[in-house]
Amino acid sequence: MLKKKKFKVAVLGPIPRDHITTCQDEVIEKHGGILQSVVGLSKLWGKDATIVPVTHVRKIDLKPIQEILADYPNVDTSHITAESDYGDIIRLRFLDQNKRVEKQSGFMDPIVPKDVRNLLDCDAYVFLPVTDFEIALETLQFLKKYSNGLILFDAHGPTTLVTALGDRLMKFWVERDLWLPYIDILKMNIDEAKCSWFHKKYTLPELENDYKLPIEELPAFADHCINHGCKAVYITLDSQGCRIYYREKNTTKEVEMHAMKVEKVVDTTGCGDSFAGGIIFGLLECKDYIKAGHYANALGAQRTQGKTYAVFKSREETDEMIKKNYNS
Amino acid sequence: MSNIHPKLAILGPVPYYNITNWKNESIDRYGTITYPVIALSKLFGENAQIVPVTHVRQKDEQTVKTVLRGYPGVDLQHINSDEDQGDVVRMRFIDTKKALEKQYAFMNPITPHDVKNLLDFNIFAFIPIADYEISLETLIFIKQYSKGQVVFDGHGQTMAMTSLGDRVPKFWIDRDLWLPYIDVLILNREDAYATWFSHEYTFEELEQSQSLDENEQKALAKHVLSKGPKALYLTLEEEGCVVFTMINGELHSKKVPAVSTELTVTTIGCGDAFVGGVVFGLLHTKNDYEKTAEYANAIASQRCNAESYDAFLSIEETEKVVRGNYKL
Repeated sequence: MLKKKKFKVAVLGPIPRDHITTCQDEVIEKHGGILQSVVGLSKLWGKDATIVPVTHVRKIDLKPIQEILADYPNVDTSHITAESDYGDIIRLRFLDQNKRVEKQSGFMDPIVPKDVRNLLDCDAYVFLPVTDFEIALETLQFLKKYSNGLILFDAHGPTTLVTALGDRLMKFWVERDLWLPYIDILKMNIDEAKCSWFHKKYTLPELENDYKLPIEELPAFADHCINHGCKAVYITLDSQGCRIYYREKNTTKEVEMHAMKVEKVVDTTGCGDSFAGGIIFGLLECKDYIKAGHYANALGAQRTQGKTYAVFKSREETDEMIKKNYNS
Repeated sequence: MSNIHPKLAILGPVPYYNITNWKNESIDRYGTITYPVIALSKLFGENAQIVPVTHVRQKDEQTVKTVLRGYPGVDLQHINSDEDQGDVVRMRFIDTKKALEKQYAFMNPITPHDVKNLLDFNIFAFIPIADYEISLETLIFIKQYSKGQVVFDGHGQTMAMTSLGDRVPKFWIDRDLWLPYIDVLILNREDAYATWFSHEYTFEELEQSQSLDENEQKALAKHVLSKGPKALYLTLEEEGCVVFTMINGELHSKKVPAVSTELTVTTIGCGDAFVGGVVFGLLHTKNDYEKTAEYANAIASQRCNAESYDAFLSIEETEKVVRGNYKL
């Protein structure tokens, strides 16, 4: 009889066919999106967990994606489907290490309750949308109603739109409060926080000059999210690490966590997705928001070290990184 | 006209518009659902209950109510400013039709809570102008608990606001999640293009054609009508509209030319007035979708003929225009 695995985790979102031009003018063509998190978690957990990517792809992309994942025996590919033949296709051109111009020419059909109805026994659901149409709110509502699994949601999706010209641009997450009651762990970067913590009115110069959200406003924003149902909020600050917010004794606690030191950054694509995977690993294994932040930063840092999935490390190696950086 | 006393909900924003028209005249006014609300009041008089459902800023609430107060049959109880959020839009026309649009404040979404006391209504007409204004949950709620017909203008789902304040057209990728809850869908040419997206574009394609040819329009109509709606109106500005229906499993389309007008004074709000005309036509003709198009064209042209709200005509005058333009 097969030994029951310790955890089952669904990772939901697109696997875009990415065409990337780095700031050193190198061209990388690969499938990205949730693959980063799936492979990162697969390496970390080894035999202790089953990872289930849930996504829709173009028919032409199905086989290459299955081939990539065939190397990871704890990944269950049964929820990667190409029935409707829609999938994300994205071109990224990096202007510097973090800023990029993005175009999208193919679009995944949304993940709906039907996609998860056989996955209600998962311990966690990691939603990693990259555009606003990829996850139906109904799917989160369905999971909240019928599953006890922890729901992590990356705000990258609802703060990004694709125009009819194919430009990927940032947008305000105006309907935010409809989503928060169905999210346990909310994760975003500082630009996405700006789009999620919108004002009632702006002046046009404020908008046109792409104003920055002051870091001092993050506690009020996190407090709002926690009051509306979230258990914790993780906000990434690129090389400055992240801020973690959670409720303790009726007040919202803020933790500043520095990033892991890396000698050379090769590729930052997928760092956010890897970070999200690290949070879920930490929360399920340690049930501790700070330790989860350590694993998140560790996976984010691993991601920067190369262009292939070989960057991801085992639990032992990752624990060693955490010990060295956080003395934990 | 039958003896029923219809109850009509008109849902969407009442944006505060700052418009510079193609003659360089500056006009400040409240728009969108105000047009069909007033048009329907002029048509029905006291013989209908017309309820605008919207959210506005606190500073706009009394002014919006003052604009609408005094029109027979209009019930102002569902205009609220609880969240102090409402749309503010600046339009700069570069010719008679095209405008550069900026938006710097936004209405909080209409949710089931807003319609829970209107479930005995005959028609719910949704006229969003951006993708966050109507929650899908609201349509699902109405379909579940009300027998009223849902008329939906697709313009909102094909427009987004970027974090720089630009209003931009976007693809309606999650279209098929919405269609089962819509009885009558209305699209203009640009909306139709954004609703009938391809599996994959080349980047050159995305930057070129932004309209559908006749075969593509039919393919779109066939798809839409297979998912729930009973009629699709495709508006064609001065050419009138095409109404698509399914008769005995076959797609049927009829072009209904615009009513002749002496002069187009404005194009702002013509699409919104068209929706009001559809609402009137559905009730007046007992869902004769082709005849309804004649009323919709007539009422849209009333809006185009004058700047003031008084341009809308009584039922007798409207009947006269319809008789003068279309065969009985």
